[in-house]
Amino acid sequence: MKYLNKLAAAFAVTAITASSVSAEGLVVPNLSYRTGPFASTGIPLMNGQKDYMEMLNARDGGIGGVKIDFGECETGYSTEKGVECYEKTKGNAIVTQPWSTGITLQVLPKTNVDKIPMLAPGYGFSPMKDGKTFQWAIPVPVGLKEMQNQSAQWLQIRRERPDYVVMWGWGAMNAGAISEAVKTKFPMDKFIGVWWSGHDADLDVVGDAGKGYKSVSWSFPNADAPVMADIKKHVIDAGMSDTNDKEMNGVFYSRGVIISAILAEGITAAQAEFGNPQISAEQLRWGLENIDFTADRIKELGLDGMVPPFATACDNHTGHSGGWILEWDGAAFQKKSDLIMPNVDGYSDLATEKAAAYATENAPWAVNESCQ
Amino acid sequence: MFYRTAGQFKTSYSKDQALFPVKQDAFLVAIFLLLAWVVFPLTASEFTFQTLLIPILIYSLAALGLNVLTGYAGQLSLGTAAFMGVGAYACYKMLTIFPMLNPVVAILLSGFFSAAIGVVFGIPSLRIKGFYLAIATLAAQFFLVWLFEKWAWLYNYNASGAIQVPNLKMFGVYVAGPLATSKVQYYVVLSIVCLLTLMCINLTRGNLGRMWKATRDMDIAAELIGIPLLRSKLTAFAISSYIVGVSGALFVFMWRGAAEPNLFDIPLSFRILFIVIIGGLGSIIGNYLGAILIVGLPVVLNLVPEALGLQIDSATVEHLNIMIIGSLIVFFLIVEPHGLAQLWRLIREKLIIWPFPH
Repeated sequence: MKYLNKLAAAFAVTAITASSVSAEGLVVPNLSYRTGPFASTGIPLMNGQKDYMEMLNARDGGIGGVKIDFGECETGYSTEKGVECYEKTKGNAIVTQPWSTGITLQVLPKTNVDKIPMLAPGYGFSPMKDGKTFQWAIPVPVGLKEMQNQSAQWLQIRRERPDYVVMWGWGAMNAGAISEAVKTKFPMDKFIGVWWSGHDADLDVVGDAGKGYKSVSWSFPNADAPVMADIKKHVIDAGMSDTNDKEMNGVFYSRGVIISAILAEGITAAQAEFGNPQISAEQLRWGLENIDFTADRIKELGLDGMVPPFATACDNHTGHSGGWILEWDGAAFQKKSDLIMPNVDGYSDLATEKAAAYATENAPWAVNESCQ
Repeated sequence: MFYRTAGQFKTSYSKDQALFPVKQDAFLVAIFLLLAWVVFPLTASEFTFQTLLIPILIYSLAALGLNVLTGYAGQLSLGTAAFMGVGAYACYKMLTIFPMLNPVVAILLSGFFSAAIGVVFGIPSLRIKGFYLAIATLAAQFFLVWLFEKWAWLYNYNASGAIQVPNLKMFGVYVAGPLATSKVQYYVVLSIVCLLTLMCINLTRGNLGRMWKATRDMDIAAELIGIPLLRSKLTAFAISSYIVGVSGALFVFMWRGAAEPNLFDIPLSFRILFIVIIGGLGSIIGNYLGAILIVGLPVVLNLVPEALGLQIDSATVEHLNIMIIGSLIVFFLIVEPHGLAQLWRLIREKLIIWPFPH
């Protein structure tokens, strides 16, 4: 009977929480991962995202006069918790941010039924770019090249001592790999990581020895950008943030800020189009499909030099912003190249084809018919 | 007083051998069945279905499978998750090759694939025991997960390397895929779990179950009284892997909706082993109690601060949750090393003689 009581309590609790969700503000939940094996990258990302939204709330009173209700639900990067969080937060949410390939794959079919746009910047799987098929998935703004699932193959590659090592590492794996490479005296200037692998804290461990390590990135930390000053003034000095100075200047914190900025821009676009500050999930999808991050707009938002210009469309959910090569100089990442555009020709047909295959396998799958 | 067994006379063999010879037991089981079949589905929200009811049932079933092998036949296995994976991938392949196949039939058939693989990996158990056998099953764990990743045919050469559950209909109702409602999926899971539980209760108290228990308690003695160890151990591996395989197919098709190979990695095996150990080795009810503690309680604990109106960071809640669950596990194991099932058994014994203990 003890367990019966426990279970009854569970239902009671569920009922209370379900009813306590109110409709105030724009509900923008984030499935964070501040715990678990990937917490080292998760914490700065989540802090960046949260701080930008807090800053908008403090500085502008939200977006278009509506406060943003930026809730976090902790997943620890576990797929199981992710689904739990998705179910928990989807109530009034106008967007969902699953933050892991595993969770994305599970949530993707559900978003098509629940009609909630899923902002998945830089993960998930390549065919998601096809906005016609995956009308609810918005993997802005990565060049597709970087969007492959991580694999354990780099271990074998390293054993073969090639000219260059390209790392698709993520989370705790990176720090280990980089220290290992330093130990075995692998030439760091021949070591290239993808965007998940350029985390300051991973490189801090090795310091000068890591000099020359490169990482591809679609964002760049610019401590002098006006937006950072605003965040400092409105959020950090007000004691509403968990971040610190060091983390704030890192690649991942700034990426979190940019992701929130993209989301906020999508909300703004939707508000302007539909003339209603309290937008719905479907309207937000339109907004995210019509983001135009021109150089001027980036400047206006105070994101100078932090993100390359890009624009999304209903059939192109990634925007193909391209990326920069960042290089570790022993203390921080430096921008080392001009903007590099991904070579889309090679796989864009492939992605469309895979997207179509996905839709057939999951038939009946609602496709965005209005998109040409 | 409430649990008095005095006066319940068994006047025939069939009455004596009934599933629940004590009236109160049967009454309790009936209450739980009523709750599971009628009350929960009528009252539960989408969230409750997806995070409590369905996962607890599926994990209980996986634990039941492992319990047959470890709890009843005494063969320690660390490969449970891999056998779940075999069931899931077999089900996926069957349903993509024969799309007209009834999903529930496919789920029940997929268990046979994992049973076959389970028997193969069970063969070493004839020569090695205890920890050494655990290592042999660990090999199955690593090999199979590697196979799921490398053998692209298994996931139909998908770009993502994951299997995705298609929308499947049964008698005109969606039972799997994103269009299926949780309630339908819950009933499918519940029916299969009830069916297999009933099968297990009967198996473990029958001839086979006695053979397993004899093997577990002392295999040399069992051999001396004429129990064929080969048959005893391999049937345990086969039946255990069958149940685990079915639970794996349910896991992906009725709940997760998609699966990557690393989903079936060793943490899942350990999780199920924990459910079995905390629930109680060699018991049926223990699997359910263990699953409620390990799978259900964290979800409920996560909701508590919010329900009480406390403003705590989601990450902090998660940390607290891990600490609370960890200490609860330690607490229960100290209070009753034989698991929650034993705890219930003691409570029941006490209830039977209450209020006049000897």
